[in-house]
Amino acid sequence: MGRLFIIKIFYTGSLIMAIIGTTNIAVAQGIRDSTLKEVRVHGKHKISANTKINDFSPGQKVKTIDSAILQQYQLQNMANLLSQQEPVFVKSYGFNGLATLSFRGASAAQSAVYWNGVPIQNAALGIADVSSLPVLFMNKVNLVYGGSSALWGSGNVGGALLLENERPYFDTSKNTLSFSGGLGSFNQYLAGLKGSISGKRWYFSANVFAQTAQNNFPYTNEIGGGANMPNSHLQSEAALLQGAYKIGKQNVISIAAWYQQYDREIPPALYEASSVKKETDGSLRLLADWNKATNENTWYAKSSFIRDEINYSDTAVLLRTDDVSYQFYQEVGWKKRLNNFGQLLFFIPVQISWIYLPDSNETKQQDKIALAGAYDVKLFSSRLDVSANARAEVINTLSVFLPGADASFMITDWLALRANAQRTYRAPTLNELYYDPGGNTSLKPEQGLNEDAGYTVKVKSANFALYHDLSAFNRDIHDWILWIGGAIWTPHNIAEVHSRGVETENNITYTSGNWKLHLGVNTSYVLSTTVASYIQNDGSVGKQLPYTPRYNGQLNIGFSYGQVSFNYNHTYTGYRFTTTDESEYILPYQTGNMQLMYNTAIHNHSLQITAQCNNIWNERYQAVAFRPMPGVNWLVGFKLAIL
Amino acid sequence: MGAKSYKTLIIVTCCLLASCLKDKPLAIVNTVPGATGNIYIVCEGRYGAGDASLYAYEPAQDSVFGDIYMAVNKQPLGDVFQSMQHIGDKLFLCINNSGKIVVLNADNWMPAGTISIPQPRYILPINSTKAYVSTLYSNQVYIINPRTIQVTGSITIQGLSPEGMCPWYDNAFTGSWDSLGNKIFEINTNTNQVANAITVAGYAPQEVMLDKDQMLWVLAGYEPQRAGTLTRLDPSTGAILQSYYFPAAAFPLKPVFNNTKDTLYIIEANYDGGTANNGIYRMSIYDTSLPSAPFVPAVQDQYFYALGIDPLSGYIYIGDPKGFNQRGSVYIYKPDGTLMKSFNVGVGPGHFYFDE
Repeated sequence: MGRLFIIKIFYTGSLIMAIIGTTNIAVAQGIRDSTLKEVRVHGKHKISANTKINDFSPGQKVKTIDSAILQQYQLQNMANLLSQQEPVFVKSYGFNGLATLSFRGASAAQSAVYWNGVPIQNAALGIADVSSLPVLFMNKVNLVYGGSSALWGSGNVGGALLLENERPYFDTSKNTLSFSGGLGSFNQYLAGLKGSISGKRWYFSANVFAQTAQNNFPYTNEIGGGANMPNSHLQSEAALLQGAYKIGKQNVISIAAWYQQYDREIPPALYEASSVKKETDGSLRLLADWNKATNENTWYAKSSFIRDEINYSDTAVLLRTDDVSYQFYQEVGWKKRLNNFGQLLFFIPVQISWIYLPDSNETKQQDKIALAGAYDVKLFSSRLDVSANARAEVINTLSVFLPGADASFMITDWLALRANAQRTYRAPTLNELYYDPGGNTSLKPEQGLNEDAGYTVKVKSANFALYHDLSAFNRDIHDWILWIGGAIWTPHNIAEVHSRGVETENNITYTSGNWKLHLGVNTSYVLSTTVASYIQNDGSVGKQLPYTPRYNGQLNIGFSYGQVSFNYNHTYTGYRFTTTDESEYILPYQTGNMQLMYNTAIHNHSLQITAQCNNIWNERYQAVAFRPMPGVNWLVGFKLAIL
Repeated sequence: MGAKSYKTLIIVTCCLLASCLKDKPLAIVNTVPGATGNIYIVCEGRYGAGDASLYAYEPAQDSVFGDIYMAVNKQPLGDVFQSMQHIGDKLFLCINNSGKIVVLNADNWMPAGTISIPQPRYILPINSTKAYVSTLYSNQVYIINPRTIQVTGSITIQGLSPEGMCPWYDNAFTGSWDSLGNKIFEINTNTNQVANAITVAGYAPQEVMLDKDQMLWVLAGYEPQRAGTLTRLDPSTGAILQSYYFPAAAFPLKPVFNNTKDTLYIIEANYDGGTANNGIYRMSIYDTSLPSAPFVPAVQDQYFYALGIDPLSGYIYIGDPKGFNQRGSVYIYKPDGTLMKSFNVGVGPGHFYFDE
């Protein structure tokens, strides 16, 4: 979505003096001329460091998570944040357990996750576990609703989660160091460290996060008996190091290394008497990034290497699997500003993924090489912003062309329209093709068309602000991939799936003195149904996809007063079917959550204290069938800035 | 905005809201059959989804009932319903991945008890106070007392995953459904000791059954490492009479004999979605090679997972799991291959138990 906003600039006498730096006469004249007229500038708010979002997606809905919310959730993971604050469905297999993301009725493999522009889904599975993404590490979090395969490539069908670390800066006076810590229910202990140091030409930062939790929350089993959840311990460690060197003006090379390990016990489902399942997930993500900009040209290059390891064991069934997947992702790009209104982007992404299959002693590889371009033009004083993009991609031996176009138009200062049409596409993952047993090498890619449109209303007065956004979307995907089987599970292209729906985002804020009151409601209505199937007498035709709630919403109401802020958050997730023919379902659930944040200082060191109480109404619920979630639980944390 | 505009806005909003689908699904109605004359359908459910269920078909009434356990006990049965057995006045239901045998009163399906056994698969009644229970991933055959609903002992075999079992005079045969094993074990049911081990044609023997000549048929195979084999052997000597080797692409499962035990019916499943080696096959016990053409072919993207022959009518019951992602279907065929009837059951119909 185009982020047009109004900057009101009032030239005061002092500002004039600062600008012209001249004589008293001039100052006197400036004052005599009185305050200059209000100047309205329609411009783009840089919501991301990525030019694809900032400059070439004017018609896409992009939601930026507020920095205050990031602060509130700094000790938690992305799954908790998104499930409470965004109208997406987070399929969570338990407290602190595996969680995947679903945008607009898309599958987890169709909902992409990017870190500084690099896809970080597991190369074999094609999905990302958002419960293992620490909020603490991220400086900016954007959600892009709707697919844009031309800009982002295969897998971006329902939407994307864009995570960005702090951009390097070169300011000798801006060294930082802060400690975070927290403790919560079920023996949950968390600690974090963030620090950065910079010179005129270099920059270095470190982020470290560790947590341990017993997660032994009380729950009620199927026959009404009570127990504490066994085999549910979690321990994780994560570190993210960044370095950057400023070669010249707007010419920076940076590197980042992110390693994390999650050791999880997997608790029994309600139908299991016990569990000794364990899983260790380790991820190493390396990224080198170069950016150079002049007035008219920007060049960039990214090179990343990702290694994901999943070690799973269940000694009760003599099972142990060690799966390692690798991914190289490189991208070079060039952006050219053609004039005051237009700009052009060319980029070449190359993605090479591979896995090793121990049973057959084989390595299977998938290569994606593409040439992509986008053109954006702003007209009518930047009120109209139109972008067209296209990608020609070769996936091993398969070629695909992915065009798209989107636009935004600011009708008035308070009303903007947007529209987006993209061809969407997802290539089968390495597991879907080669998993042993069951992989299906004859799978066709999922492909279809995504259209969405919406409007945004922004009204602001001296102490009142209203934000209302509505999006409607429509998407047809052919050759949807679904795993079916019995003794052996195999993915098949089974169906055409039609997804459509409406999302709204509504916020009202009222400011009076030190008080600021807010009320926000997000809603999502999604129909995602099977239209056609290759299976004989398939009962799924016309039925909602599994784990795709039709209704989803969040409410936030609260206030801030001085350095204190309070928020009550209420979420609703509707019925989720667990079979393709709607013959089984799990009940809707609502959770109430309270968040409190207080900012103060101790000897000139800022101190932030956060407290969160989740599920305050003690709702018994399951996001995934037979995987109970905890009742009332607390998390109290702090962040102390030393520098 | 004038009053007319407000009315228009309200009407448009109401229309939009009315066009939204009601979220609450249609109520699922679970029904129970009469206490006798039932053909039970063991619906495995999806592994890890906890949606196993028990259905029944009453041929006399031509009616389908289920989920019986949910209807009576208001709770789900568990995860992976592998098999069932009627012993005395009770039904014993092996819920594999829930690690339990659910015991029900046969006349009203009310719970009579639960036996905790890791990964129970099949039950072989020996007498009124003894039954054997095979288990997955262990080397144990458990002994239970069906009257007291208790585990009374266990038998160790030289291999993992004892699976199908078959009585033979004062003995019982079972295999070791493990890719490293190619033996079946003869257990003396008086001493509960392994008395003998017989080598069969293939690896991972999983099903054992007797034909009309009291010869033993053993289905072996463990996809995809071990291709399927059938072995016909003389249990009294251990001599192999005939060996049959399935193509590597064929996944044979769930063999059954007709009522005269002179014809073998078996499923070949093709999980890749093709029609080759896919359907119900049948052969005489004296055939020297496997049948090449299916008796009931599966169509594209279909495979069968349950097979049974009604001892009263001789009709052939076939279960289609439809990918284990939705309710499965049951097809009833006459012995001449004519389709008689079909109906829907729970997720993953895996076995039929004729309790007529």
